[in-house]
Amino acid sequence: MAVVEEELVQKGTTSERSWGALLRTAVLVALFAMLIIVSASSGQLGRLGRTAFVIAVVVGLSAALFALANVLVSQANRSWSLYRGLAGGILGALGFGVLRGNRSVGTLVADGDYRLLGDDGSSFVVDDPELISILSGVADPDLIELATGALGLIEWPLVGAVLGLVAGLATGVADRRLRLGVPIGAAIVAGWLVADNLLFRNRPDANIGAILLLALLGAGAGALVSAVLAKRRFFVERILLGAAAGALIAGWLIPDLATGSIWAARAACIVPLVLLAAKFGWAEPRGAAGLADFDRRARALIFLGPALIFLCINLVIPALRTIFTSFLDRESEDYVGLDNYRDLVSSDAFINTNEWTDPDGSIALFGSQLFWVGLVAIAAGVLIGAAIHYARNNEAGFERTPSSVGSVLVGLFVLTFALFSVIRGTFPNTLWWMFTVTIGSTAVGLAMAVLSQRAGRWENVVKSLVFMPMAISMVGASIIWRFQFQPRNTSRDQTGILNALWLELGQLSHSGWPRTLVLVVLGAIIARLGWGIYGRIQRGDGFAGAGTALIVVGYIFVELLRRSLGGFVFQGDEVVGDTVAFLEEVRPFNNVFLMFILIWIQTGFAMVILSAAIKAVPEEFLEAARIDGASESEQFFYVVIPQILPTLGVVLTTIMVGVAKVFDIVKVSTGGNFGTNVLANDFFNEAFSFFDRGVGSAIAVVILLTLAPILIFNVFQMQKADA
Amino acid sequence: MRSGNSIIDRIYRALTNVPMWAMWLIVAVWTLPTVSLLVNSFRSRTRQRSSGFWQVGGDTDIDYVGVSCPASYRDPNEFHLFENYCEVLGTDTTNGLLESVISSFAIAVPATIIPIAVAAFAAYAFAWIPFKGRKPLFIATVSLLSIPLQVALIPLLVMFSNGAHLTIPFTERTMSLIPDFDLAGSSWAVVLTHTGFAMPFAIFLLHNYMSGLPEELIESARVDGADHFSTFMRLVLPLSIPALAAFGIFQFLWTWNDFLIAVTMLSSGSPDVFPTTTRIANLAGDFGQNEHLLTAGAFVQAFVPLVVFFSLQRYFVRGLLAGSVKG
Repeated sequence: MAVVEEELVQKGTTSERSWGALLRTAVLVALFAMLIIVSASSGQLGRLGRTAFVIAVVVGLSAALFALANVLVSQANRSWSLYRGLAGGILGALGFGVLRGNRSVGTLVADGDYRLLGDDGSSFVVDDPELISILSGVADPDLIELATGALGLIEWPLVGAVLGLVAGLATGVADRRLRLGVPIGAAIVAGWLVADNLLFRNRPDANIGAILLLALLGAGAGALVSAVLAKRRFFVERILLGAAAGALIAGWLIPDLATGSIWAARAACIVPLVLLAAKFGWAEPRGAAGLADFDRRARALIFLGPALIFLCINLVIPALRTIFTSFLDRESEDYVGLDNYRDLVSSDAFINTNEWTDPDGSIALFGSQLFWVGLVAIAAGVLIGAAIHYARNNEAGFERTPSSVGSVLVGLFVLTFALFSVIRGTFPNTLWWMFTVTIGSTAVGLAMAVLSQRAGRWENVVKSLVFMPMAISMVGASIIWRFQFQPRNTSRDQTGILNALWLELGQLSHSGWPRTLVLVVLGAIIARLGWGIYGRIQRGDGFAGAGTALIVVGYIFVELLRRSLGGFVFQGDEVVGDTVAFLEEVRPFNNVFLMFILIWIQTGFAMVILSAAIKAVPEEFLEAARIDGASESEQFFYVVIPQILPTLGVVLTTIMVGVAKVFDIVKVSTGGNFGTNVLANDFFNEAFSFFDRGVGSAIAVVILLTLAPILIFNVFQMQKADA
Repeated sequence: MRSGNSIIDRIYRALTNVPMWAMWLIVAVWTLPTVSLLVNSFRSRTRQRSSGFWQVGGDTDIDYVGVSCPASYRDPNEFHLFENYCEVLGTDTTNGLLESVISSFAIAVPATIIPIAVAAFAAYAFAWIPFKGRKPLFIATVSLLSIPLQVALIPLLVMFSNGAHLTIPFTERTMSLIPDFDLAGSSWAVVLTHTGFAMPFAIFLLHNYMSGLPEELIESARVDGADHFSTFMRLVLPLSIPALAAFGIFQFLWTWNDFLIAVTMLSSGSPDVFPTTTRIANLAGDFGQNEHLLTAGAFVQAFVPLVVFFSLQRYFVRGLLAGSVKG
């Protein structure tokens, strides 16, 4: 691996000096210059500048914060006390800031000094306690202006910072009296300040006795934890922490708010804070071993923190909320149980088996040609595999060769076509997409990865061209392909290349001497192919390539002979072209044409990664196989494939997860009409067009559930890999 | 193998080489649509609608020309190569894509830089800071890869428009954890959403690369007294540039080409923050009328990612190689 890496790095550095690199740089610079010039000429420069400025500020601030956190931890190694002080200061500022920001505290004036705001901006002070208690219950908080007293929006965090700093500094010193006394004092001051500035409506109706009782209970719980863990190290700390939690519950969670006395508020604020201060002041400053331990944990937290915050806020919590809202009604107000799911699953659009049986009652699947073609292909593949295995090893088994594995794959493909044309609906469609696109783009990508290696100097060109669609958006790709699929009235020229070719074939099929000429040439090719295959069988060589060619050419020959190739209809005796409306008419296979768009996009991704993996297979392995007399296909199926299996897994997973989310293609191409709807598009319509959050969430959960097996499988794989 | 030199023999040999012609066929199929788009983008409305792209010339050029083009373009008897482009890039607000190109940059650039920075820290922690529960946490993070983004979309939109509020149990008091910044409808909502969704893949990719760095190197830095911060900044980060670049390219392509997040997060916003994908999808929606502009529009949209990809292709493959082969 490292060798390959090095090689690549070297290749990179040498060619970076080449003209190609220079050209690329020039194009990039030109692009950038064009952007600036174009936006300047259209008056958009200001916007560009603003955006750049905001990005710079955000990135700079975040970087500063990150560096600051690291400096703080580095500080801990030098002076524990200073670190505690800084941390305490930041926490204090944050805590007091949040309290003030939430309008929980705000005034230094006696009991609830409210001002009512008039529409004209005037305000008057309300000082009647009875009126205040009514107002604080019913009035819209936004209409009540806080009398800020001595401490305003800036001062609150500042006071918090100072108190935190003092308390923190003291918890880091060696003298125990100082270590406990100063923080407890600061806690009393802070609690007093908060309690006395607490808005009237926020005062807890707490019972001081209850606070002390629950604090005792909490202390007991802390002691119990220590006993259960059988660790004496943080014995006192656990007791103090438990007591603080108990006091917090008794002070704030159990009682009603907005009815309490000033002393109850003071107790509810001061007791937990004092207990917490005592907890932090109890321990001796850390020694060297403790510091190293702290350093590791703190760094892990700082390095992981931002990512985990993003993951929680953007992924984990919203996902849980979606699961929750899928049990609520369309406005997310009332609980409706499983109604959303029932509505979804019972609707014909989601899944229906109307076409499962034919009108005469027989099962449609068994009457479909595709089904039998698929079965025959699979059977043929298995037979070929078994026959070759027997011929080579003289025992029963399945030999993996291009013809056996290829036939089985093609058969499976055809079989899913047959299956999903009788089970219709958004859910089966989504499964069909997941299967076809994943297998299709991985198979083509793998084939291209292998074949492009044989293309010699064209390898990079081939790869770049196949990868190109990756850079095109799905919206863009859908538009590109819409032009190709488009049929035009046959009285005019076709604009889509597919219909144009199809009509040309129809013309050819009914022409005079051109048809005869093509038939003769095809006949000659078939004869030569047959002769070649006969020869190869005589010598015992493989003939998969020639066989495939024979099937393809033979099929075209027969169709041409029957005059049934291409698009045409008879109008009387006249042959008239007949176009195919790929996306609207050929149901249910219009789905396949849409899937092809995604295969077109994703193949490049699979190819690039698999190609890299194939190149990383150690040459010695292949050499050893060659010495043992393995043919090229044997090397591929028995050496390369097992080596790249993990990569193949990553590619398959990534594509499959991607497919389940795709809705752009369906939305732009058909809008989900003509039986092409998929879950992701349905989700979008329900959630953002019909504004039904309940059903929308339910669909999202169904998508999640279809992916759950992959998720679980991957977790097991990773655990195995780590073990 | 018998080999003659007659024409039939040559055709036979070419035909039996099925894999190679299959490869070139695939290359053609994979390339042709893009070529057709490019050719058509230079053809006038009449031509696009009356003949296929392979008939480059086609009918005479009697055409409707939009308001953004120079007056000289209105002469119907002359051929104008950049007619569609001047309209698409022009200042006409209904058809003009220029604004949306800038909006796309305003989304894609921060949505590439921020996740790289954040994920690099996390990847380093997962690779080189030993702490309790590291493996389960890593597996949990990476397994989020298979969470479809639809699952998180509705609550995110609600959060961006209303902020996040926690109702404290039993008290019926709500507390604002995240105030209502009214982000929905602004490009920052899109950026933040992209950042969150990019995180699992970014961490996965960068972790695989960073954990493959030689252990002695990191150890020697530790012995020299460097803390994790300076080891990361001075040693690991510069060494990981290929992986960072690879992920950056991938993320840029992804955010530039994204439609779902943009269209949901910006649905309440003003049209001038719409990125290119949204604008083009809207163009595609009004059937017929602006169909001829779709070609030029789609090409303008695809131009930036194509340039980015072709100029930085090498890093892309190298970084992904590290990510997948070791993973």
